[in-house]
Parts: sequence; C-alpha cells; structure tokens
Amino acid sequence: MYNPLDLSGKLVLVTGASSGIGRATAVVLSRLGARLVLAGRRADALQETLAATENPANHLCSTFDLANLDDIPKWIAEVVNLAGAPLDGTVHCAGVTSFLPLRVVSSGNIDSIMVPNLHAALMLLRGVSARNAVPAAGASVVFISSAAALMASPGLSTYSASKAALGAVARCAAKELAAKRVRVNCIAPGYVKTPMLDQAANAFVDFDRIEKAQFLGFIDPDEIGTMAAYLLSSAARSITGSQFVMDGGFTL
Amino acid sequence: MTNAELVELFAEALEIEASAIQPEKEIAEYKEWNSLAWLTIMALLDERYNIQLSAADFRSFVTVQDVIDNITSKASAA
Repeated sequence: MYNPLDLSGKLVLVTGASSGIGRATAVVLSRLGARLVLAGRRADALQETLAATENPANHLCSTFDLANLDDIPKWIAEVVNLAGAPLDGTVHCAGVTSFLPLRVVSSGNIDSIMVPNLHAALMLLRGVSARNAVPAAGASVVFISSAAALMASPGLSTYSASKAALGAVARCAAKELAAKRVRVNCIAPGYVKTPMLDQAANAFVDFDRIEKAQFLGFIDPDEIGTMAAYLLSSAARSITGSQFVMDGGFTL
Repeated sequence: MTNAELVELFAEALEIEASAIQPEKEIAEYKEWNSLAWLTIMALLDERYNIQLSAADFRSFVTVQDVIDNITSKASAA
C-alpha cells in the first residue's frame, strides 16, 4: 500500500521524548517504521515512552540535559556511534514555557527559557549537521516552535521570542546546510493537550477564551507527530526553511 | 517568609506602594490586581520561594489575607 509517510530505515533523534509532544511524536514515528533515539532528562520517563512505541527493541534511549549546551555536539556524536548510523532526522520537542511579565524579567529567568528553547536548538543543529552525523542522502530537522511566535500575549514576550527565533534559525540553516542536503523546518502548534497545557491551566489562563479562539478545538499531540513525520519523509523533500502553523484557527 | 515580605511581593507585582495593600480588603477592590499582576505574583513566588498556585487556589481567593494564608501554609508544608 502506498504510504508517503513511510519512515522505514530512517534513524531519527527525538528530544523531549519524556512527555507531551515529544512522546506522541516518538510513538507516531515508530508506527511509520522509523528507528528512534529517544532523548530526555528523565530515564524512567524515556522508558515509558519506549514502552509505548512500536518495536521498542528497535529503539535507543539517551538521557541528556540539553542545558549542557557546549556538550551537545559531542553527545550527538556519541548517539551516532551508539546507533551505528548517521541521523536521517531530528525532531526537537524539548522546551519550556513560562509566563514572565516584563516587570520581573532577569538574566536568570530569561536564560531559563532561552537555553532549552533556542540555544539548545542551535547547538543541536551544529551537532546533527556535523560531517559524520549527516547521511549522504541528507537529513531533515524539525523544530517545535509555537503559535505564540505569531501572537501578542502579555507575559509571554520571552517565550514567544524564543519560539519566533526558531523560525529565523530554520530559514538561515535551510540555506546554510543546503549543500549537505539538510532541510530545516518548524511546526508552530497552538494549544496542545499535554502536561505543559495542564501547567498553563494553573497559570491563570482563560480556557473559555482559548476554546473560542481555537475554534477547531484543542490539538492532540499525535497530530504534531504526524506533521513531523511528513517533514521527515521524502514526501517533503522540497520543503525547507518553512513554518507550519497548526493552531486550530487560533491565530486567524 | 513573613506577611510583610508577601505584602511587599504583592506591591511589587501590582506596582503600588506596600502601604496601600490591606490584607482585609478584597482582591477585587484593587484595579491593579489583574491577570498580569497574578502572573507576576506567580513568577515571583516560583522564583523566590518555589511555591506554585493552582487553579483551585485562585477560585478560593476573596481577600488579600486569603492569598497570604494560602501561601504561608504552602511554605510551612514544604
């Protein structure tokens, strides 16, 4: 049967695989035949994700804290070594959200958002585009950005900036890494049903207003995983430097 | 943490003088006590005291004293 999203034979690194979008993405990619490296900070949570995937024996787990920015390229080299193959794809789902009104921003709390969301993404690009990490046929990198990158949300300037920056990174990297046939794209989700959304529920977020604005409803994380699968597949071989908004209509 | 420290924190979040905050007053009486002020309070509580407020907590608050009591009981439980 014709399946344009077939990922058989592809090795894909998923960061933030411990929960939420990362976990759902890992499960979707495994169902499409990808071999995975599941990365996150919590070994026990990674094992739970592994247990939910198809062919768990096929995949690897790698515990790593992306806050160790300068160690990321070395870690990627170790992952490639462990897997015995270069990376056909990377989906960077790891990230944090936090309301940070301007009246309380500090270098510390700005960094707490920028480091996992943006700085780690840049270091990952360095790692996964290194000579030994890229297959001859090229690779596909997907960043999970946010519809917040396109919106004006009081209290979310730092978070929105970190996600908007990923769009700029993807555009520049798409050109810079073109010679290596590495494509770089972003997915910008609206409100997705994950633990991060539950966290937002405690942060004085007006869910009635959101449900009205996101008129197609709250998003299931496996929808994001399926879009990532598309961008990783050869069906998306002409797509690079782009951003795909999946927001249930919120930003309209 | 002391009640005075909490009042200072609220004043910082609301951008008003601490002397203007009276614990027996209702939160609704402060026009500055809007959602942005709440987000600021939550960011400061998290950063300074590692304390988080839940949606259920918010629903229970009527007076400033309610908020103080909730936070101090969380602090002593920690």
